[in-house]
Amino acid sequence: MSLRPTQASIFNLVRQGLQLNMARLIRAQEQVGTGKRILEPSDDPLGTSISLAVRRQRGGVQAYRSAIERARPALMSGAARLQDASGLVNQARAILVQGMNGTLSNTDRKTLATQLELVYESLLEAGNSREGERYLFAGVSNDAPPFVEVLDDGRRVVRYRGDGEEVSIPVGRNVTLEVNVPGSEAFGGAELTGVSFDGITGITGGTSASSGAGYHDLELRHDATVGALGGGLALTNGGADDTILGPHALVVDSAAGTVQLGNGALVQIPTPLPTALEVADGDGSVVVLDFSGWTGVDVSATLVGQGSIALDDGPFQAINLTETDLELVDATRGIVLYVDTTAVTRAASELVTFQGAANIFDTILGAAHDLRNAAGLKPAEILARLEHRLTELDGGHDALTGALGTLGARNERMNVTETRLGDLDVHLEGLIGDVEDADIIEVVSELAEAEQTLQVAQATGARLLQQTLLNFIR
Amino acid sequence: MSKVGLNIGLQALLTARAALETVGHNVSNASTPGYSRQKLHVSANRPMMLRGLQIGGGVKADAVLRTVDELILRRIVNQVATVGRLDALHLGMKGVEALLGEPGGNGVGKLIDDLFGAVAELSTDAADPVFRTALVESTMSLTDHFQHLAEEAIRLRDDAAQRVQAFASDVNARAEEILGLNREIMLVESAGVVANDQRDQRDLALRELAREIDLTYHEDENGAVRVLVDGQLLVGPTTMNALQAQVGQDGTVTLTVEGGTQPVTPDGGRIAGLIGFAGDFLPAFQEDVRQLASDLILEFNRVHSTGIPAAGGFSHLTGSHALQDVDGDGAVTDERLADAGLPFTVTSGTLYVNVRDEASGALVTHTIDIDAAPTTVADLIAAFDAIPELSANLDSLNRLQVHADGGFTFDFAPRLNRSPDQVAGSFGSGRASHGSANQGPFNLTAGSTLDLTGPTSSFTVTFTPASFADMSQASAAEVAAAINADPNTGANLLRAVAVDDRVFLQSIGQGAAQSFTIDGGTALGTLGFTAATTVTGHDTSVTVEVHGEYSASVNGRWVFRPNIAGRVGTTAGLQVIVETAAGLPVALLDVGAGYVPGTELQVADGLAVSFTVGQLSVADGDTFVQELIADADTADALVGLGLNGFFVGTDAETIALRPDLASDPDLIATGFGGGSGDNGALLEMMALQHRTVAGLDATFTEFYGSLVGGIGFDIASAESSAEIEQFLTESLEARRDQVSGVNVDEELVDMIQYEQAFAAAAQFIQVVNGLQDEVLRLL
Repeated sequence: MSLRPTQASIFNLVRQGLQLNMARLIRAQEQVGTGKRILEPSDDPLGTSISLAVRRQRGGVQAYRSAIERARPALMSGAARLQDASGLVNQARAILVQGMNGTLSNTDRKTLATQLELVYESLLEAGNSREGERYLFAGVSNDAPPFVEVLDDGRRVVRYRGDGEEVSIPVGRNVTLEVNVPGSEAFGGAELTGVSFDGITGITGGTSASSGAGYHDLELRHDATVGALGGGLALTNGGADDTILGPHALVVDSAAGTVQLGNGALVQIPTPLPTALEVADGDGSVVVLDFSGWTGVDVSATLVGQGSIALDDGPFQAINLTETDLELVDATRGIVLYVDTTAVTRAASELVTFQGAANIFDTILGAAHDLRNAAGLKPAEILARLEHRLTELDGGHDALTGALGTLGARNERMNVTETRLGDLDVHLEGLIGDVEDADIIEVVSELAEAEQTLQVAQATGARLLQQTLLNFIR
Repeated sequence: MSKVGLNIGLQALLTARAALETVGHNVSNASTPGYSRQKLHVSANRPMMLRGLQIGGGVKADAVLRTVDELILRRIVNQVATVGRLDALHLGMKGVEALLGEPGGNGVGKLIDDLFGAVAELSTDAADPVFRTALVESTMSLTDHFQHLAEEAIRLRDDAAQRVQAFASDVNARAEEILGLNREIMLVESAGVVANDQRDQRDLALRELAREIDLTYHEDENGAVRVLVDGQLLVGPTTMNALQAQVGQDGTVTLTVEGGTQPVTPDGGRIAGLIGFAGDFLPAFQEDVRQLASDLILEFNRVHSTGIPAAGGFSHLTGSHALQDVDGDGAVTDERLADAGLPFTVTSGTLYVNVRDEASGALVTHTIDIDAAPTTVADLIAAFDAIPELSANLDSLNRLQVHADGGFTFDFAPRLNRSPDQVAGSFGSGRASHGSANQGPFNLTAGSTLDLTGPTSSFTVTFTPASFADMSQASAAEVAAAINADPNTGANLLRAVAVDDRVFLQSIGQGAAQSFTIDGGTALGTLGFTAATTVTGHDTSVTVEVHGEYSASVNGRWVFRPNIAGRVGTTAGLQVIVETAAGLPVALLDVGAGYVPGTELQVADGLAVSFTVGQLSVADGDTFVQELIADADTADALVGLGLNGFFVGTDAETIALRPDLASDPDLIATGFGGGSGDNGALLEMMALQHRTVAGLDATFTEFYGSLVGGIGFDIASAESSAEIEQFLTESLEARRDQVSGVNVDEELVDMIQYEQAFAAAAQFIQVVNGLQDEVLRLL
């Protein structure tokens, strides 16, 4: 059909042309105004799908980043406090080593004990340090101070009330990062290695294995001294002041005027004859003799000390010094101890150490206790105990530095993760922009083009509409 | 001649005038919609034989006819219906698109991100009240938005229904108009004249009608059209049947024509677009949103229901979903769990229930085996009741309630019992303890006996069917309960416990002084006890402690037993054998000479165990069991019953944060029973972010992305279809215009032409008149 233009179609044509170009102009203007290419999903469904997927991915990344941001302060201050603690333990070690100097006086030792106790206080504070409302070293049960000082059998000991759990935070798809070390690990002991005795009484471990933790007192009590003395000698106070356990030889040399117990030093018998002369054996056990009735003859006798044994504040039980596997149970503290009493020679308080299982606070408190010499020990015996404590302290320090290393490594991992997540975040943001944002250059040129076309359409439309025969009739 | 001449002149004058009038009509209607150009058809009059000559008879006007192409009109009517449908559909879809507010807006996607973000933040400090409140807030934003989406979708559906009704009345108005025009045309055309302008109006009315609903029409011999929608008569030559739109309860619209039996289902027109939108597109969208919400509830509740709030386990819990009397017999308890009207399906699996003695901290893990097909509500309640410290019942709304006895709490956490032998004491404890050689179930008969001698008396326990569900299949727990139920057992300070499906007879006290004797009885053989077995206690008690976290992903059970009798840490060659419940070896732990008691020994799957000093016995069947829980509710019973959920509700419309969590955020179950900082449950929730959810076959965010993308695609394709169809319509309109439109210039030419013709005719008459005068003058 030949083209037969009509007025209506000319007007329509012009109208449509103007509308189309105006719509393009508006769309371009919208994109320039918002800077976005996709304002609604139907603008670009595929782009929307991509953009949504990337947005969700970015949402995940931001969740992980904020988790790291929240967890970082606790991790950092945990590491800082462990650093402090490590310094304090070094300080404690220096004091302990100083205390092992045999030439120190009791007063000097007490001063050192006070210093140790001050270090202990600071260390306890470090162990109970907080970040916000959380105790850093309490594991997962972090709403209460993890280390609590209690009195046990009259002695100050520290109990761990936290748990051994690690707190993890999410840092990636099924990836978590631990952000703490439990106090049991940082301030607890090292590996369990067994039980040891400080050797004052001669008691040793039994044939069976023992189980327990920390430091314990094993009291060996002298109950009675038996044996015929002769020569008018008697036991002062009926032997109540003696500490010997088991058989000990007593030799009185009248010619030399000396008395000797076992392989102990010769003791001059003073005049006037004393009613209470303390004679010590080489192992440190003593008998107290009443020389007032001495007839001046040589005496060679065997005195046998009878005694009892008790673990911590438990009941005493008599020992006959032939037990090689005597069982001592402290049910309340969960201790089962097997001892060999055959080599016991004297009564004293024996320090039992479950090696590696003492926390660092107890070690320092124990050392202070030793330096104060509450048990009335001789310097050499104090030294023996302090050596024990030192080994434990070093073990504890190793655990502490180990924990510090763990935290350091976790901090490093956190930093690496955060950097990676940060990069990813920026990358994803860029991706979203690529998909959603309008390409300004493209849009502006589109805008210019639409504008131009519109103007042309307007101009041609105006010309077209003027064309009518009416202009030429008359 | 003059008469003839004058007549010719007059007719020429009249014809030119008619032509001029037609031109005037055309010009004045040049812009009238639907108007078709009219044309005067003229022809020469029959000639006359005069004087042997055939003289022409002048001109005559035959008819005024409009210029139309019926075929184009029909195509336009079809096309208008298609465009109408796509326009309405597109408009509806745009409403949904605006509802989503994507991309970049605060849509569901962003709110799900926010929820996971809040979970991640809370996981860094599970006890922090600010983070807890933030989690509550972001959860409520999400649930509010889901509800908003659900409500708005319903509103869009109702809007569509209302508009269908409005369009239907529009249809009826048009139908009436067509009916009126039919009558007029028939009347006019019965006189043999074409009713041009009425036909134009009717064509226009048909087009307007097709915009609302697609139609077919036929013209009969009288010039009337019959209009059919979906094959049913809407307008006839003299009658019309009104279109009726009825909106059902669920918002669906049913169309019928008056007197019609079948519903009308249009394929085109705006009504079809709206029905398609409300009937296909919108329900698909609603279903997607419902599924997303439903799976969000399911997955979060799966994790949360097995979690424990920071404050510890529960003293009582009430489910949020009511059990229903599906078979209608008046009792709910006989319904099978899988078929008790619960919104989330309970499947077959195991539910672990931990009961904790708050005073001692001792934990016992019980298992409830659920087989979805036979396990009934009553069975489940009985299983809870069978746990000594728990009881269960249905409340007045038929929701399950579980209570713990005073001093006990319960939970469903996948927690590790760190002291697995603390309660049973069947592994080297200080109790006098002796386990049966056989494992349950035991084939007991009514009246079977067990003779025991305790510190106070010798006595006989007699088993009666009342103590058992099925005496020939007696479980170790039932046997133990039956022994404990005998008053002599307690009087002799004895008890029975079930461990590893064995029955252990024990003294209540501990220590070497404890002793009892299994004398005999008819049940001995079945249970696997030996007559005249005297059992004594020990002064030391092996304490078992489990360390680490269970890392495997399936539930399991390890059974620990010694290889030989001996003392931990002392006896050479003493080992603890660890096996799975099925008897497969897991580990051999050296606990004999050289083992420092208390040292952790690695077992497997991230777990280590330590033992303290004590005596282990093979003859007494020393055993303990470690339950290994990765998923504490493989049956989804908790989710089904709505116990300790995070969300309540079942779909987008009803989803909400559990009300008591909203009012007390401390109740949010963040952990699995560790300390206050335990974030185990939160980490599990975080893992949901990337987990492919079975119900969606995608992750939450993938599903949501494809939902939004899918809607975008639908809209874009509807949009481009509408554009194409619109273009097609316009080109058809242009073609119609070419045929029927008025070109004013053309009309002006016609006008001048007929003006001149008129002048010529007038001149002719004058000439004829002059001729006449000349002749008259001659007279």
